[in-house]
Amino acid sequence: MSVESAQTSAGSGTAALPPEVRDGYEVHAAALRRGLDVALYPRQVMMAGGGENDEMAFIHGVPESSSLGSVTYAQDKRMRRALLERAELPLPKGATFSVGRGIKDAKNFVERLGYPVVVKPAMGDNAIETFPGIRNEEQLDAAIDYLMTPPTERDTFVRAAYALTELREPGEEDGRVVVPPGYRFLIEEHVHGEYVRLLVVDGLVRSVVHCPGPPSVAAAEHGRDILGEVHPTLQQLAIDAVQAMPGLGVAAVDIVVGDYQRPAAGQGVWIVELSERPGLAVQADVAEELSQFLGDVILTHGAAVGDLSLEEARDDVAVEFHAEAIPDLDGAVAALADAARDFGITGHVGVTDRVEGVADGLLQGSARHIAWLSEMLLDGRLNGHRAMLVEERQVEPGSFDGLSVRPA
Amino acid sequence: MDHSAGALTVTRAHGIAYRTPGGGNGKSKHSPRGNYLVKLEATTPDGRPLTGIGECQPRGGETGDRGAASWEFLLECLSALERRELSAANRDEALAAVRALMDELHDAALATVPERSGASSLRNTMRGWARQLAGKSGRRDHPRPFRGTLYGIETALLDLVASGLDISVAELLGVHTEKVAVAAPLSGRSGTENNLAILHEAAEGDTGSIDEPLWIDVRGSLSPPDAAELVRTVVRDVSLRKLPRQVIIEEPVRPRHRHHLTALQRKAAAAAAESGRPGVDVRIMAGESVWSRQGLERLIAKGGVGALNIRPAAVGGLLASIELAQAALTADPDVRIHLSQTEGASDVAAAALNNLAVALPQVHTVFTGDDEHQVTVPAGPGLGVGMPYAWMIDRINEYVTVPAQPEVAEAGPTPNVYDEVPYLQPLGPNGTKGHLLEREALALGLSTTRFSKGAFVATDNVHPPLMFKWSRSPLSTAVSLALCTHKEATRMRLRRSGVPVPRGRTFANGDYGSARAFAERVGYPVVVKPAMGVRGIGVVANIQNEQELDLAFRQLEDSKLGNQDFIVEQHVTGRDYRIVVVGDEVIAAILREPASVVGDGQHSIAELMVRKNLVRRLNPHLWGRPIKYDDAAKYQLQRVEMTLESVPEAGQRVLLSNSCSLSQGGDSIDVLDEMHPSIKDACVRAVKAVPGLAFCGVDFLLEDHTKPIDEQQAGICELNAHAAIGNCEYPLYGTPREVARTFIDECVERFQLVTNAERAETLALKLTIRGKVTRVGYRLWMKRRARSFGVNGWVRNVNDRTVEAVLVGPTAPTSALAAAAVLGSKDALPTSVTTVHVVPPQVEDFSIVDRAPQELVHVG
Repeated sequence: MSVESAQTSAGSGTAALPPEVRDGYEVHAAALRRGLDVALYPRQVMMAGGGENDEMAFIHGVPESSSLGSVTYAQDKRMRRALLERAELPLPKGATFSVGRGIKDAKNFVERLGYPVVVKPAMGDNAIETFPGIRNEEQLDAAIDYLMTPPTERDTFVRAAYALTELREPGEEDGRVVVPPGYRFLIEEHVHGEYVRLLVVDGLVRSVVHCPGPPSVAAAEHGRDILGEVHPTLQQLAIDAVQAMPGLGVAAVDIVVGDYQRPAAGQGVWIVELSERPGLAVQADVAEELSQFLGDVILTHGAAVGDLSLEEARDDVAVEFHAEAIPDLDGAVAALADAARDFGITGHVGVTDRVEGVADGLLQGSARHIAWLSEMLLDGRLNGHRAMLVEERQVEPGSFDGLSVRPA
Repeated sequence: MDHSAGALTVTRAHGIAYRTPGGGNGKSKHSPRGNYLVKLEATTPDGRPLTGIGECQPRGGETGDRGAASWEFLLECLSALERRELSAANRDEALAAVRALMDELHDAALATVPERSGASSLRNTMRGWARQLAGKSGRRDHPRPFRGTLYGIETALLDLVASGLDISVAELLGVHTEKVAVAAPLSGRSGTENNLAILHEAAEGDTGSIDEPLWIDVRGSLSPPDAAELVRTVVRDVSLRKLPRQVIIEEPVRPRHRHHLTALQRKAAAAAAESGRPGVDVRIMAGESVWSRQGLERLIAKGGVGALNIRPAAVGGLLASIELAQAALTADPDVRIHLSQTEGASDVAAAALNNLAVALPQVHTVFTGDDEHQVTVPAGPGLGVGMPYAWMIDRINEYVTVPAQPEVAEAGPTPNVYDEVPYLQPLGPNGTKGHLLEREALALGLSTTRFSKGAFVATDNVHPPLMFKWSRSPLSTAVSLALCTHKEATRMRLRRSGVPVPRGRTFANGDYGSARAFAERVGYPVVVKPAMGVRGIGVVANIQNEQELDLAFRQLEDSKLGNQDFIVEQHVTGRDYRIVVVGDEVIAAILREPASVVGDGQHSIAELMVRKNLVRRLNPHLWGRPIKYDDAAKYQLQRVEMTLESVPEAGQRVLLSNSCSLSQGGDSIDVLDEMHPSIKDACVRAVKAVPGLAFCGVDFLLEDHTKPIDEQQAGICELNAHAAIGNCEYPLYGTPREVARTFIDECVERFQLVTNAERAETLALKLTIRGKVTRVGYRLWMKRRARSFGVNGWVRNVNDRTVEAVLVGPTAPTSALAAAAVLGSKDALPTSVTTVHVVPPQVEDFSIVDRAPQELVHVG
């Protein structure tokens, strides 16, 4: 069974892998495939290693080489623009405005800039809630109005675990709760050309995908892997952009360019997005193998930084499975067993401590499937069941007749 | 000097500056609105102590006051009052004494008006001439400065002498009315239509009491033609019975158009005469624009208006208010007199207004701001109110006593005071968190670019720049923060490293059954808190049994975070410590204790709270975090059967909160040197358990920090990956620790930056400020700040989006001004400030220049 079919597995009743979970999942799967033990904490904090002293850590697939200062700057489009401008990199014209004092200024700015424009939140996860191709004031108002809704109440909002917490008091407008007056949004000129997503790991371009539209908005199902075709000067542009924001071990850079096979010089080219998250959902839409490979690339980079050695990758593994703080233990064990059986995973699971909410077991099968089960359980997506910690410890494979649920 | 039998002698004068509610929270860059409380202590010839209090309400142009100058003037007045004798054997003598003294102070105020001469711009010169001409032709009132300030002094004097005579201030002034109705005006808006709509809405809501007129304060928002239109439409609608018979329109035009008021009144009268409805009475009310006899007489000469609203602070006192009312009534016995308060008045000013209301020869209504329907003759003596401590205790900026109060020996340790507070205050109460790291980076010779109050990058111009936002830095990783901001994840991680953590577990929202079973297993007492808590919302501690646990669940449900998953954990009995780890070392540790005061046997709790808050104002981390007189404080006082007026015994500690949070008024006490090594070890182990965490504030509950960790109850409850810096850098008691400096040193070492060997004590910086920084008063703002900070240099416009400045001075003020440059003047919106080092140029003071006075040589 492929992961693709696993995502829609009727037996477990789970939804498909959400794009924001993809990065963490791919690095998690890569760690299991490389024979590492994994501890997964809430919000995709993952530790992988063999013992106490040789561990590496990731958050949503972002390695330890990405510093807190740098990811914070990457999540602030105003400061990010300032740093890229300082490095003399090509950006669309743009400026940020606050919803409290800046809407009139924003409109004056668009007046000077001319439509179409793109509207984005100025802070938070990149490549979400982007409103491209805004052609008139009505659409501009609609985009701003959407952003007036407090982020946590928006359907499309996701938030990295390291994002700044909003501590300002919310605002109020005609009885509606809105974002604080200091909340900012970015307006950029809408530039035209082909969208290219580049993944930079440790200063090297490791993937280039040609996308039918902004990777943040359009699904990349019709995207193409163009690593071998893209002009080296565009790759250099992406590398320069990441260097302008020092302290990012991994970054995804979106470039709009007239013709990606021609040199950057002499044609319209703009850096329209730079995210500290790898954004492997784009590559997964092109091909599952591509995102799997890149998960391994990121893991390997993390291992190099932490001076860890990795085993040869293997598809199937056997792990001791340990989950803690599960509210509905019996339900969670049953859901886990059902989903595991659908994947053809063998072994056993069962309740070990009811009051502490602990379940244990042994799972043997595809590393990617086991990683998927754990990610879903931590994210509360295994039929709504949730754990606060999952540990997977590699063991020698055994022989099991299917997957059994141990009596409590 | 008069030594008559009834003379009172002023023995001590107090001036207290405080911010009024809604007058700014100290966080914005606008200067807050505030009042001054005046308290005069005096003795009668027979040695009886007396006090008199009054509230000054300086309100800029409205009261003839000028910010800091008014405070300076008040202090001069307080000095002038010291040891003064007031003959007050009877009412007349007492009033005459107060009047004489106030005349003297008004003259002193007038003497402060600067002579307009010397170097002045052409524009100012022209304005000066225009002003003189207007004054000569009688179109302009003679200046009467500091009326809002003098109002408070006069109130305090009247309170004092009335108390001496054991009568109320009203009786002192002469009671004319037994009771006065309370009424508030409708708040007008711009545009005739809006104001008309407000009147109609109020008329519809009116229950039919035809006696009271509709009164709208238009606040000078209309042009004279629009005002005429409003008057015409109002009379029309009154005639059509859409509005009640009587309508009062206050200040329809701006004060500088006040000469239109009489014409408007005539228009109203003429239109009313022509209307079909009998008894139509639409009156124009003079308010803000008429504050002096001179102004009133000018108005009367033109024909007068139908109503006058007197604000004692604008008029300059209670006595002047009475004179103004008398003059108005003499000219037109039919004039309606109303009495109002300026915004932001305490009980003291309300009491003054009440006493005045019944003493006016005639008054229709008084607007006290209270819900009362009427005011009656107060009982006295004096104003009949005490010090409004509950109202101002956590908002006091300055407290001056003349002569200075004799020092009472404080029980316990002496609190630290720090001289850098004035430099850091413009950055707001959290300013230290965003600024201290930059200060240390600059002191080591690094260059910076600042993007906001919290964000800057620092570079040695050799290596890639380091990025900081608040205390999010390159020292720690994204992963470490993600783990630390999840309490449950932190606990599970720490438990695996063998560090003491309270046992606990997260439960799904609403899963109370499992939570009860868990609490039973770990044993009571337990704590309940939301899984992703902030600022202690929804947290209930020390839960002793299942009933209390259920109560806690209900409290959590009712809180803002009631929709979250929740945590039940062991309650560790211990004191609250914040321990800072940088790298592998504990570099600072404070004990946090709940807000409290220690008695000296002389001062009341209110006075002790004021004193402690004044000390906290000299602490860069605590100046914006006063002890508050809130529900928690009231509850604690109730528990020990005390009030704000109670005088605790010497050495007695009185708790005012049960929270150890410094933001709730808690104390910070440095304990680094006494801390047992085993505790430091545990902290370092805890921090090492989180990969990539190199700066951390460990929140530790301990019974005793001097004892080994295994001989006491102990538990780490939180790791803060972006901890504050100022709390340990500036403890209230004990040794300050150089947290920011150690932090930056660690960055320098880890990223092998090229820096100066020594921390610089003085800086010479060139700032390039970009954004909306021209035509917004930016350069003047910087000049004023620089001069008050003692920083030399210059500032100039480079183009319409760029300002350049050179700052030369000691490290603390110079770097703080460089940080504040990203805020700038009120209307400025800087987007970035780039700061580089230069060879100190020859500069004597700070000036605004058109072009750089010297060539600058960059360093580094």
